Amino acid sequence: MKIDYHKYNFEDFARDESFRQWIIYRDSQAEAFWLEWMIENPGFESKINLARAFLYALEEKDTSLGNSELDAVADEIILEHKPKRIPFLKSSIFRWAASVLLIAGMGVTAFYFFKPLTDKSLSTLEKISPVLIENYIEKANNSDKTQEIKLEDGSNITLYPKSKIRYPKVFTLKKREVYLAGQAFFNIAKNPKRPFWVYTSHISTQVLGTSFMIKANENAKDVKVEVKTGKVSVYTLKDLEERHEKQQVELAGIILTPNQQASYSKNDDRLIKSIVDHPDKLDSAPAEELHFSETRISKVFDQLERTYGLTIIYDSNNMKDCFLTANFENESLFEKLNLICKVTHSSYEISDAQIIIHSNGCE
Amino acid sequence: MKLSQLSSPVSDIQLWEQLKNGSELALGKLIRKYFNLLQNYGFKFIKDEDFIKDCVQEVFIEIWNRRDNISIPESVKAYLLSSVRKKVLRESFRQKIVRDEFATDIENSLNFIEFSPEWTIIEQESLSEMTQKVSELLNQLPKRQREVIYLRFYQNLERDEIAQIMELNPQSVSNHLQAAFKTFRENWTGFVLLLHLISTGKIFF
Repeated sequence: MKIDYHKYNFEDFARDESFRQWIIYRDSQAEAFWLEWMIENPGFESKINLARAFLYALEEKDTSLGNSELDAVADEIILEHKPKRIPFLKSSIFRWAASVLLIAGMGVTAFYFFKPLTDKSLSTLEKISPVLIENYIEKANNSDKTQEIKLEDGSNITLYPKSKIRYPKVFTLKKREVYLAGQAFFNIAKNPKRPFWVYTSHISTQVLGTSFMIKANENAKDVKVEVKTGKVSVYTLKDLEERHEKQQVELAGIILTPNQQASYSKNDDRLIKSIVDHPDKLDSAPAEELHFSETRISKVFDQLERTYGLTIIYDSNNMKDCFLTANFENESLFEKLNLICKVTHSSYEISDAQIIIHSNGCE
Repeated sequence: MKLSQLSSPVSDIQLWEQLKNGSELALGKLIRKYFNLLQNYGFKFIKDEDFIKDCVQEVFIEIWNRRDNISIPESVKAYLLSSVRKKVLRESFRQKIVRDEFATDIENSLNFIEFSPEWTIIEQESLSEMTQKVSELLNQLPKRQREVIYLRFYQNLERDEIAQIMELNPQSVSNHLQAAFKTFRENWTGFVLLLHLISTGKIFF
């Protein structure tokens, strides 16, 4: 459709869709079109500029949000206004984490355990850590008790039954690298200049701080890392391999802090961050007791955050009239949260290792 | 009259129907399409970006929550603008942003405020002067006329849509529009003539 702009007065320009795309929506294609049109059609400048000035005057200020911000607005509305809230116990992450525990508990993996490393994991390992292929020590725990292993750098590994660990006779200068099949608890000596890496069949964990547990049964469905103290970052092996090949500096890993865990889902080769099944009070937590008497809910959440090192997200305005009276002793974090939710007519869910409270307020 | 792509009523109604069926995608699309325009309108009443953003968001939340019972409007854009207008007026009154003890009705206690364009967005100096002049002339109009002009030109609405938003009858929208345009054109012509005389040296101050 060809429009004859020569008959346009300035009001027509101001209401023309393509013209509006240029001025109001800052569309670069439309801009190019109109700038060219003005060159080809001299004498329309005053009308066009008046139309522009008119729209700018009406607009006053560009308060526009970008597309990603707008999508965030939409996500927030959808997330906070789900028709039915899924109680935590039924959420997929929890069910799935529970089944991991079950598998580990029943020892299903025992059958596979003594199989040698598969070709595929060997070749991957060779690429990212040749030292673990050439000159290594391998220890397997065939007993039914845990085994302590002390490494040359002073780190301690608690190896669980039916698990094995492989480490070099001498660590390289730049990295301390071990390979794990099964389950182990690591207590790592700090040495920022020689980061400590734990590889498993699907994921790798780089230690930024101190102690953590890895459950990685090579042929079991799922693998996970739980952090007790310090900080670790976890990557899929695929990510590491890619970095190795492309010499990338950026890595798509996730960082875990105490009471957080990463689970690897083999099906979609992806890491999921969540909260450990049994969060413990942090060693560094303040000694204050969790006794509350008509305490403002924001203060309660503050104290829980400090005690467990986990983030609690809630609408402080919405919950400004919520108060709690309770003496917590040895309940688990989740039992505490259940009680708080009951009192404040709320529900909670875990997303990305954060606790999100949904409340309708306490008025 | 051409129908603009952006407010094509067919696809808006389709989006609305999808939204009623619980489509999160449709909600996202409507937000992408209208959120910024709605914020711009709200800003004409209260110059507080955060407050206006909350109001617009609130409008979408209410639509999303009531989607099962909500009817399908004739014009989605007009419905949204009118909801934002009501929301801004009510919230500003409730939160006592506008405190007018003598106000008998909320509606009239709030002004469609004067235009004060931000110059920084316009690089070209002559254009920026022109914009300033246009806003001066528009500000001489009564507030209802200013709002009608804004809805007609910035929001690109039809007479009936404007009538619905401002709760006027369509004829008075036409009247406001005509009167506003008559004044604006006269003043503008005078201004341009003056400019011309200055630039050709026929007038000295």
